[in-house]
Amino acid sequence: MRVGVYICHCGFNIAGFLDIDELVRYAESLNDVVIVRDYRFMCSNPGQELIRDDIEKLNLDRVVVAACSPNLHEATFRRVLSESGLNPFFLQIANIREQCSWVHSDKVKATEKAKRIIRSAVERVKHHTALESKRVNVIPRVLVIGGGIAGISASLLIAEAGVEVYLVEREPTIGGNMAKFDKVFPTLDCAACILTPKMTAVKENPNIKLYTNSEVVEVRGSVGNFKVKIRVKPRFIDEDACTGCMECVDSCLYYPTIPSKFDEKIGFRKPIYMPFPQAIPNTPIINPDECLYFITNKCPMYCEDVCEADAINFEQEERIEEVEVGAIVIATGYKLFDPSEISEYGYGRYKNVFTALQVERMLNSTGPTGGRIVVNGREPERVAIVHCVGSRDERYRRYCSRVCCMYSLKLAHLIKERTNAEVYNFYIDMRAFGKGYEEFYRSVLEEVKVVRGKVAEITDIPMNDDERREVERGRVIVVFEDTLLGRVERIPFDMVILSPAIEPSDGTKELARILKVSLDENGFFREIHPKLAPTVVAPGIFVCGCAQGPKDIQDSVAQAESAAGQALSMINRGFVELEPTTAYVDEEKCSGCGMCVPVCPFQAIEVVSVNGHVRARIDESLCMGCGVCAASCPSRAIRHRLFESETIRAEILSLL
Amino acid sequence: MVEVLSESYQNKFGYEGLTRCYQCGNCTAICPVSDGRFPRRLIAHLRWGRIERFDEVWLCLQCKLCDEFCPRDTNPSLAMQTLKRISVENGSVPPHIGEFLMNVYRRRNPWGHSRMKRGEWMKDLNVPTVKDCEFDWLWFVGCANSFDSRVLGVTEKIARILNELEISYAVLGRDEGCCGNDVKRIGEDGLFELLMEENFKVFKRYGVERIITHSPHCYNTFKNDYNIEVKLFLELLHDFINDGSVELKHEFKKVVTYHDSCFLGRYNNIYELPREILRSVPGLKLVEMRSNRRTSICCGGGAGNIAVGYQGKVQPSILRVKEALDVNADVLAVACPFCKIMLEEASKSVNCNLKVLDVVDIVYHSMYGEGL
Amino acid sequence: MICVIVRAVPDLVEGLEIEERDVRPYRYIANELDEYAVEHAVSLKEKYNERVEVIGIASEDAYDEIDESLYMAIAKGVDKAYKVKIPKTTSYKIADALSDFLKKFDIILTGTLAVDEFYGVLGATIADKLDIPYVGGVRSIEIEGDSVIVKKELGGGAYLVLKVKKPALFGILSLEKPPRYVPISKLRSVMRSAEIEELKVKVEEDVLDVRFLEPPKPEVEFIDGDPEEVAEKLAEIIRGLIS
Repeated sequence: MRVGVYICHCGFNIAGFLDIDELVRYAESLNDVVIVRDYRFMCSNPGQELIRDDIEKLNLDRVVVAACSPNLHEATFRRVLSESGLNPFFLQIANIREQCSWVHSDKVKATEKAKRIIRSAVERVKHHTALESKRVNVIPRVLVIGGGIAGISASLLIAEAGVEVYLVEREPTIGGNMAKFDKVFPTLDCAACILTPKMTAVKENPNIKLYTNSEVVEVRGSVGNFKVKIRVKPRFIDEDACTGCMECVDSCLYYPTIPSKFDEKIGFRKPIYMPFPQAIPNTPIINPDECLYFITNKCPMYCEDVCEADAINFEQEERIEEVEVGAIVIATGYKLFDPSEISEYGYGRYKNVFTALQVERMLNSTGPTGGRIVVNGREPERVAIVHCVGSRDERYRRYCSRVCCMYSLKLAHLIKERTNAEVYNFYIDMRAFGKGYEEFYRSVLEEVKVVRGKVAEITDIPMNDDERREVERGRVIVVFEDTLLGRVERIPFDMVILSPAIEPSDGTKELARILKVSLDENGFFREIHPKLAPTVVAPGIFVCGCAQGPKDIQDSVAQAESAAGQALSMINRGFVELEPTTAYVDEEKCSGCGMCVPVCPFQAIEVVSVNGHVRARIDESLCMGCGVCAASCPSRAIRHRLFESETIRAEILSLL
Repeated sequence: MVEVLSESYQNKFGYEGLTRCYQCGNCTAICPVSDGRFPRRLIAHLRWGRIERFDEVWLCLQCKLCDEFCPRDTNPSLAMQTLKRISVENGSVPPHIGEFLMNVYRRRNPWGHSRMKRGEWMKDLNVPTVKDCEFDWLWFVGCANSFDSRVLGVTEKIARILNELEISYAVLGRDEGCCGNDVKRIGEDGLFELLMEENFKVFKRYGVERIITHSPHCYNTFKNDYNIEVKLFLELLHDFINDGSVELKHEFKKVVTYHDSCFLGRYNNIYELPREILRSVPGLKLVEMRSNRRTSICCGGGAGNIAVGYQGKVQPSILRVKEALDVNADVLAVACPFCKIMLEEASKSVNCNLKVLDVVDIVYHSMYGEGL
Repeated sequence: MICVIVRAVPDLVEGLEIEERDVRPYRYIANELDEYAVEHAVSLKEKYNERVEVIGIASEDAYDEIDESLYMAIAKGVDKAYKVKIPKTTSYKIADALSDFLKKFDIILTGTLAVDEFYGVLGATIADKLDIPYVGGVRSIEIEGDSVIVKKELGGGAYLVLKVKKPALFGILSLEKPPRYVPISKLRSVMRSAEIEELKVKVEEDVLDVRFLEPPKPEVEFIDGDPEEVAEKLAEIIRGLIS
C-alpha cells in the first residue's frame, strides 16, 4: 500500500502548538507511508492541489489528512480523492486540532499524542474498502411544524416555488406570538399590518395545506422520505363551510369568563371563540372541556340555530392524517418563562405586576382593554419595566433572551405615548445589537428613564409613612440599587412590567423525541454547526426562529427563509446522497433472533424470511449508520461499512 | 488605603464565583445593613484585585441573604468572607471583632468569661457529664447557652426535657470549647483550625460520635465544616412530639411569629421544622412576618457581633422586631440563642410588649404548664 | 534599642484559690498594661525603625504560660524575646536582678502597674537602679533625636507633655488606638519557628527590702438580720455617731 500523509498547520491553530517537523519525521517512519507533506492550510486550493498531484505522480492509494475535525473538511478531501480517481473512502482524517492542539497545555505531550493519532489514522486507512454512495429520491413535499411568523415565512417561500407544504399548527389559528403584538421594534410598524397579509397568503396559497389545532405525533423514515402522522383535533365547526360571521359566538349563552390564552389570561372568552378577529382560519372553535353541550348535554345549542352555513358539527372527531415529505422545517417558537417562580417579584400576587406579553395584549387595539393601559381601573402614572427577568440568571435561565432589551424599550415608548406616565427601565446591560436598534434606543432614552440595576424586590410592605400612603393608593414599591450612582432606592410604582426570559415552547422535548434530534443545554433545537449550518438539525430536518434559540422577528424570518432554501435546494436536486457507511447483514451468520429490530432508532430493520430461513434485513435507505445494531448483534452478523471490527481494532491498537 | 492584592488571591482563598458577577446591585438593594457600597462595589474591587477601604466589609453579618437573591451564583457573602480573611491576615480587624476573637482564643467563648465556669449552669441540675457516664449523644451546649443569663433558662429546660425523655446523653462541662462557627465566618481560619483540632481531640478522648445541639451556629459548623454527625435538639423534640412521647397539654394562646435564623435557614435549609413544632402547640396561632424563610433577615448577632453588639448604623434586630409588630404578634419565636439575645434587646429598646421566646420555651410551657 | 518588660500575672477572669497565706491562681497571663507597652514598642519600631526586644518575667508556676505572650509579641513585630525565671518577690529585688541586662537599652517600657502590683513601683525602681529618668502613666511616645516626647495622663482628660533625654524608662497606662490583631495562623507559625532565649539572673536574697507602710485597717462590722433588724441597728449606730 502507498499511503500519503498531509499535515495541516491551520495557521497557528496547529503549528503554533504542535511540533510539525517532529510530526513529519515521525509520519515518514511509519510503514507504507510514501510521502508526508505539511502545508499552511491544507483545505485551501494549493493544499488540495498537493494531494491531487501526489495521487497522480506517486500513485497513492490511501490518504491521511492530519488537520481539523472531519465534521469540517472530510467532504472536501473526499472530493479531492474522487476527482483524482481514487475512491473517496480511501481517506482518513486525523483530528489533531479539536482533539489535540486546542485542548492541551503541554506542547511536548500534545505532540506525542498527535503522533499516535496520525499513526492510528494510517493503520486504519489501510483497512478501508471502496464504497459507493447511494442516491435516494427526495419526495417533493415539505412539512413545516409551527405556524408563527417563522413557520409562515418558510411555508410561503417553499409554496411559492411550487412545492407542496403541510403546515401544522397546534393552536386554533396561525400567527403565533407575533399576532399578539401591537407594534414591532425598531420601526414601530403595526404588527397586524405586516403579519395578517402573510397569514391570508398562507390560507390562499393552493400549495399549502394547513392543519390547525393539530399536532405531529409520529415521524418515520429519513432524509428524502419521511412518513409523518398528524393528529387533527376536532374544531366542531367546519372550516370550509364557516363564513366567520361570529353569530355563533355571540349567541352562546355562556358568559365570557374563561381566561383567554391568546390574551395571556388578562382577557376572557366563551367556550366557543375566535382567538382574535384576523385569525386564520377565520373560523371559531369550540372547546369541548368547557362547552355546556359536551359537559352537561343540556345546552339549547343556540350556536347551531344561528349558523346559516350549517357549519357547527358536534359530531366531529379527532383523526390521524398520514403524509409523506422529503424535508421537515421546525418552527415551534417559544413561550415565556413563568415569572411567578421568582417570588420576590410578586407576579401573580400583586395586581400591579404584568408580563410583557400581557402588556402587548393591553396595547393591542383588538386586545381585552381595546388598547388602553389600565391598572386597578385607572391609567398608571409611574411604570417600571424590569429587564432580564429569569434571563442571565443562574437560578432560572442562564442565557440571554436577546429580544427583551428591545421590546422593553418599545413598551416603554408605547406606554409613554399612550399614557404620558413616568416610565423607568431597569436593565443590567443594554443590548441593542441589530440594524437600527441603537438609534431606536437613543430615541427612547429621550422620553423614559433608564436605570442600571436589577430590581431586587417588589413589595407592598411599606418602610415608612410616605410609603404606607403610596401602598394605600394601590402602588407597589420597587427596591433596587442604581449601580451607577451606588444608591439603594425604593420607588413606588402603579405598574410593573416584567420582561421574562424566552424558553422553548411546551412539547419541544416530545417533538425532539419524535424527530430523533437533539436539544441543546437550554432545551432549544441543536443545529449541527452554529456558524456554517445554523438551520440544519439533521439530514433533511431544518430549524428556524425561536425553536433554535431566542431571536427577534427579523432574524426569525431570515432564518425561516434560510431553512426553506435548504429544503428547496434538496427538492430541486431531486435526490440525496446517502452515506454508504451503513450496517449490513452477513446472512450466513444471522440467526434471525431479532435483537436488532427494537434497538434501531430509525426502524430500518425487519426480520424477513429468506429461502425459508428467518433473517434480519436492513433497509439501507433508512439506515443512518449509528451502529447500535452491530453492537447489539449476539452473533456478530451485522457489520458496519467503514467500521468493520478489523478496522476499529487496527485503529485502537495503534493508539495504544 | 489602596491595597493591591496579588494575583494568587483567588487560589489562596479558594473563591472563584467573582468572575460571574455582572454588577446588577441586587445584593446591595436587598442587604438590610448595606451602606450603599457593599457588597456590590466591594465585589467590583475584588474582581480587579484592588481594594480601597476594607472597613465596611465588617458590616457584613454573613447572613447569606444576598446569595439567595444573586442571579449569578456569585455568592457575595463568600466574597465578603474572603475580604475579611484578607483583613485578618493583614491584622486589620475592627476592635469589637478583635475583642471577640481574642476572647474566643483565650477563653473559648465570645464574651471572655472564665473557661472554668462553663459548666456552672448545671450546678444544681442533674446533668450527666462525659466523665461519669456512658452516653450515645454528646450534648454540645454552646457558648451562649452556657454563659448568657438571657438564654440559660432555655439550657435548663433542654436539660430537663432530655432527662425526662431518658435520652442517653452527656455534656463536656468545663472541657467544652467553642465550635468556631462565627470565627470561620469572620475569616479567622487559623483560629478556626485551632478550635477544630482541639474539639476533635476532646471528642476523641471521650469517645464522642454523635452530637446534639440547640445552637444553629454549632449545628452548622459541625455539620458542614467538621462533617461530624449532628442533630438539632429541635429535631429530637419534633420526633418525640410526633410519636407522642412528648405531650403538649397546656394551651399557649398567643399570636406567634417565627424568626428564621440564618444558620438554620439559609445555611441549612431548615425552615419548616420549627414551624411544625410551633403548630403542634395547642392554642398557638402562627403568623408570618414580611421577611420569612429564605428572605428572613439576620438578628445582627452573626459573624462575631454577638459579643459587643452590632456596630452598623442600621440595627437589623430592630427592623425584625418592627416586622413582628407589623403582623401583630405577641411573641417572636426564635430557635437560636444568638437571635434570642439580640432580639430581646431590640424589643426592649423599642419599648414594646413583644416577648421574645425560644421555641423550647414555648414547648416547655406546653409540656409542663410553667416556665414562662 | 527598645526593651519591653512583660510580667506574668494571675489571670483574674479564671479566678483564684485563696489559701491562708497564699493566693494560687488557676492560670497566668501577661499583664495587660505590659502588653500595651509591647504595642507602643512595635509602633516605635514601625515609625523609627528601632530594634525592639522583650523580656518576660515569670515565677516558677507561670514560667511556661508567659511563652504565649512573648510569641504574640514576636508575631506583632518584636525582634527578640527573652524570658527569665524570678520567684515571687518584691519590685526592688526584681529591679536589682534585671538591671545588668537592661543597661544596654536606651528606651525601656513596661506597664505602669500590674494586677499583682498595684503600687506601680517596678518601673520607678528599675529606673532608680539604672539611674535613668522614669515617667509613669504614659499614653503616647515619640522619639525626637536623643530625646523622647511622652504624653502622660493626669486624669480628668488632662495631659502632661514631657521631653525626656534617653536613656529613660516609661510606665505605660493606655493606648491611643486598639491593640493590633495577630492572626492565629501567624501566631502558630511563630510558635513553631521563633525561639525565646532563656536568661539566668541572680536574685539576691539579702538585699535591703523597701517596705511599704500600710495605714491601720479601719474596723469593719457586718450587720446581720432581716431588713427591719438591720435598719434598727444601723439607726442605733448613726444615732451614736451623731450625738
